[in-house]
Amino acid sequence: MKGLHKHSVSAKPGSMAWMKEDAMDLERQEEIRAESIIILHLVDYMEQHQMSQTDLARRLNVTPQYIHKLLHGQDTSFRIETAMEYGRKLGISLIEIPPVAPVYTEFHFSANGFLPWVAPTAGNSSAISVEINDVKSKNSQSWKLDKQLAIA
Amino acid sequence: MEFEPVYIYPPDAEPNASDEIVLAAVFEEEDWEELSLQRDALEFDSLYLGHNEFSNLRAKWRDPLYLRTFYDENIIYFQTPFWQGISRERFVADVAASRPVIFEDFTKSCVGHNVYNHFEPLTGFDAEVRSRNEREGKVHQLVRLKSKYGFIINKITFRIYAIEVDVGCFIITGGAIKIVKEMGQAPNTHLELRKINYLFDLLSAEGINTKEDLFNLLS
Repeated sequence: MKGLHKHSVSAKPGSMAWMKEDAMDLERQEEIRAESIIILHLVDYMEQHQMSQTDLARRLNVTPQYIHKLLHGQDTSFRIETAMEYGRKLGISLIEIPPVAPVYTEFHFSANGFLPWVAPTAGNSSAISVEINDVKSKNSQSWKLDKQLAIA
Repeated sequence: MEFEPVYIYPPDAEPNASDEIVLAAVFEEEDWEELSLQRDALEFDSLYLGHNEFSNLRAKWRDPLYLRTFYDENIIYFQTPFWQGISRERFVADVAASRPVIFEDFTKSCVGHNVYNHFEPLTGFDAEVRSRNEREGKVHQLVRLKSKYGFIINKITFRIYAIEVDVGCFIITGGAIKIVKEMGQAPNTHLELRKINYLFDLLSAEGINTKEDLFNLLS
């Protein structure tokens, strides 16, 4: 029925939750920017390969409903691990990891926080690799390279 | 058409007993049909249909698929010197990243009880009506409003549209990324103009000019 409905003002619980959500998003503007670009790459991939959202869901072994939400930016828990997994399954690079020894910083990031950077040499490069693998195996969920990651 | 509150003061007040209230319109299928929207429009998508316009606005401005399509559909404008040939990727990422900043401004206006000044009249006609409303002893008349937010390459790009039903009572009807000067020129702002006029006409037809009128009709 066209028009204004009777009883048509409802105070839904949490109707002002948007204030809190936006305050949290203010802290993660760079992450939101990165997520958007990753999703654009997925959409570009679909277009290049003439894939529907259902085709993509099948390739990534997820539901079409999830893909629909993801592409519309409504999966707010999209993680770096997920982006890397999807890239692997599609055979494309959604995230580009910078060189292991960046020249612009003296620190590298691990699950345990910033660790002093040790310049790799022939003698210690394997030690660094072991350290990162250890971190991954101990706490793979929180392992994030965060701002050292550049988006493809 | 329904309405949902997005801001009420005091927070625990009933909508009709609040000192200040910002509602958002919920356009339903029949409203979209009345506005002649195609069935494949985003507004009919399950992620958007049945949600209020404020919520949809927040969702749209971080929706990469929508923003990508929006860019492609309006590429003739983005390739002009005014937009400095902004790339699709940059446009989508900048809009999504700007969104929380844009709504932070609105939050500040709400909690600072300054919603009235947050919005400005949509047209010269609305400015005259608002000016008349401000004079003592006049019966309040509906005013169409807009607010301007955010920047993309130095352009104040984002708009939120609302109707001032009364002092301290507003209904948000939608919002847009403004890409050309006149609202009627681009499809997205043209739709927003039709939406605000659609609700304006519905309210006018019911003789609603004040908050009391509104809640008398709705309750």
